[in-house]
Amino acid sequence: MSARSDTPIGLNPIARLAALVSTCVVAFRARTPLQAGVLCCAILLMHAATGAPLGQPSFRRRLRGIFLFSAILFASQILLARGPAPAERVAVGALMALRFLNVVLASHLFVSTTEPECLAYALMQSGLPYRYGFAFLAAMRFVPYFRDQAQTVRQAQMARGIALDRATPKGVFLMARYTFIPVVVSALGRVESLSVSMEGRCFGLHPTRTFRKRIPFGLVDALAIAASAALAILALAAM
Amino acid sequence: MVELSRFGVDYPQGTSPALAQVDLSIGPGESVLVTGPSGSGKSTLALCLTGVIPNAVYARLSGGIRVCGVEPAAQGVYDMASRVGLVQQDAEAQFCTMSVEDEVAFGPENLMCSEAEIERRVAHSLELAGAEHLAGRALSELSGGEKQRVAIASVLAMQPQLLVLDEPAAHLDPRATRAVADSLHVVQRDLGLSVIIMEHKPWRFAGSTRRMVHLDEGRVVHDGPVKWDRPGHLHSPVARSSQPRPGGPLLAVRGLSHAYGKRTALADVHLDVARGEIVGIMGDNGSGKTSLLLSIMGIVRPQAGRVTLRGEDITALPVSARASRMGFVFQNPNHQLFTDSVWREVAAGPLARGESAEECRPATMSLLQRFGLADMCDRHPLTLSFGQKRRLNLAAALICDPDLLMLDEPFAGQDMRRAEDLACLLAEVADAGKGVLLAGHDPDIMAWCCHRIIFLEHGRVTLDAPAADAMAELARRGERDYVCSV
Repeated sequence: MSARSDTPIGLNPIARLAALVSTCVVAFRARTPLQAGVLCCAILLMHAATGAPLGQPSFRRRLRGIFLFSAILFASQILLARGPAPAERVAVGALMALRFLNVVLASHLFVSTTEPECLAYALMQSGLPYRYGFAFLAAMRFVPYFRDQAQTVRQAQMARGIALDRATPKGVFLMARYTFIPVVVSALGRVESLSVSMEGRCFGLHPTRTFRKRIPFGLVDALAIAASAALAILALAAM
Repeated sequence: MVELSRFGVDYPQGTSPALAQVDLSIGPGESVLVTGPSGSGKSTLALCLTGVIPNAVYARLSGGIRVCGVEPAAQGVYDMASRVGLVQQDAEAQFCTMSVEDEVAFGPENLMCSEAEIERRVAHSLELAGAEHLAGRALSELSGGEKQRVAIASVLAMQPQLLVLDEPAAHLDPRATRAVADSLHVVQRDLGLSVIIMEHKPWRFAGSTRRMVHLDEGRVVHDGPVKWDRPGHLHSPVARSSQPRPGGPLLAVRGLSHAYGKRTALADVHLDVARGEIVGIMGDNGSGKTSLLLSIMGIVRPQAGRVTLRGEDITALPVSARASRMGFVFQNPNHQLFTDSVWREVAAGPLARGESAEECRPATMSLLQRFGLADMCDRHPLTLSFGQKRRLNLAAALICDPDLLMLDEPFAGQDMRRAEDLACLLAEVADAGKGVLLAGHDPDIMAWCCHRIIFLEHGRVTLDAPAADAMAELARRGERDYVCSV
């Protein structure tokens, strides 16, 4: 059985990863705000083309923080940088803010159009030892688990009057101090169950394994990787 | 299929054998229910049958053990994996992929099966486990019962001769438990597998098997037909406690409504709790039980409705202000143990509110004495036994002398002995004139422990009656999974 993402970018996840790395190289090698701005527009166009959910409430909330940090980068260059003329400081500030935005938006495009399990399977099928691939998948499974456990522990703290309703330095300190141990204790129990389950289904029996799900890798993917590599080399050489 | 003769297991750190002098013979195609309280050796037995003990978890074995014609200790875990399948308590914790089919395919892929063979095994295993309709779904979207059926399918895909299930219903509601029991029945009938179900509440799987082995302190104390002492045969703690006190309700909830996005969690919920009354909230997983308790506590902010305590409207009060008037105990004791000593654990709330250690010491010591923990003041809470942790949770919740105590599924995963101990403690709390509101699944325990039962369906109260009347009404409605068996 083969699996390919439903998004308009029907590329193998490895080709998408190569495109992301290449975009980040270009973002860091951009020398003027105009170059960085063009790249930013291109990334936003890709978002629109792929239907990546820029308007999702969760991302919109994060977007606020991202723009705030970009604004701080911009302002800090104008206010704190010494030496260059004011106009130059504005340009440097804009360039730094745009670099940051480009890297974040390109990463968001990659994450929102690529299923982590597809990436893991693609990497394993292209030669990554499967132990590393499943370590990545297990880590992905632990992310929501840690989030849920931390939320329950925090609720338990609130019910005891330990955590404060509003974030204060004292409340944040107590929350961190009292959250770590309960979350780690429950995570250890889960790791034990997972290892019994994996070994009980012969994980690690053979040096390689077969796969039900095939992540196709075709000529288009090879060309996309080559183009990404060429773009990154050009950026490193020319800009 | 399984032959144990004078079989024993000693853990290096154990003070007594986990299993001792166990003689047990299980034939091909036979289904056996292994029951007994927590710590009686059920999980140890399951791990020995699969070879995990002593190959991955060290313990000293004595006597003889042969499973599917071989010695598990000598064969190793991998070799045993194709003979014995183990389904653990928490299905979610044993998944290592993201989707149903990937999870079921995980074992055959490790065995280097061909793509066609993997597909065949996945389809067949899902069908046997009654989970074929779940194909294509993400594991994160499934309910507890669905996850457990996928876990069974993922083990069946290894084509074992013996299936071992270690408390498969510990985290399930009664309806999901019945669905899992039905799936097991089909598996056994169609494949002729030998099935061993470890379960401390034997009535849950009584229909799936005719033979029961009862373990106690690592020894077989019964091997024969299925039989058990239901909670109804025990002395009822409610009968000892005072009846609900007359007068206005201690807690009054009016028109409470809440939704998570588009999903309704609570819809126009009304309920009262009197002083001295133990009220149980029952319903399927996801029916709104936890949301209701969290809304009353103020951790979840309801979108509509009012909560009054002792006649005072507390709807707008923050959690910190409610925490001194309401105690809350969560399901997992470890989630509520934050500090490095038993004494500090109980005093953590008052200390965080600015009281000095001297100020809160008398109340803390009094509670520790009441709950039998006074001689463990300086011990780390995580070194306590499960029952001691549960008592510590209760003491910590009661330190501010709250009017109302709320507990979220306190009986989940607990054997009858522990459930009885906890119910007696709750009866004592109610005796002291406090209200108790608890969420739970098990109809036998809830009917035995509570004065009144509230039944929730899709966030709506569909029944609110004295426990005996509630059971009769649920029986009349055909909710047989929620009717107590005594």
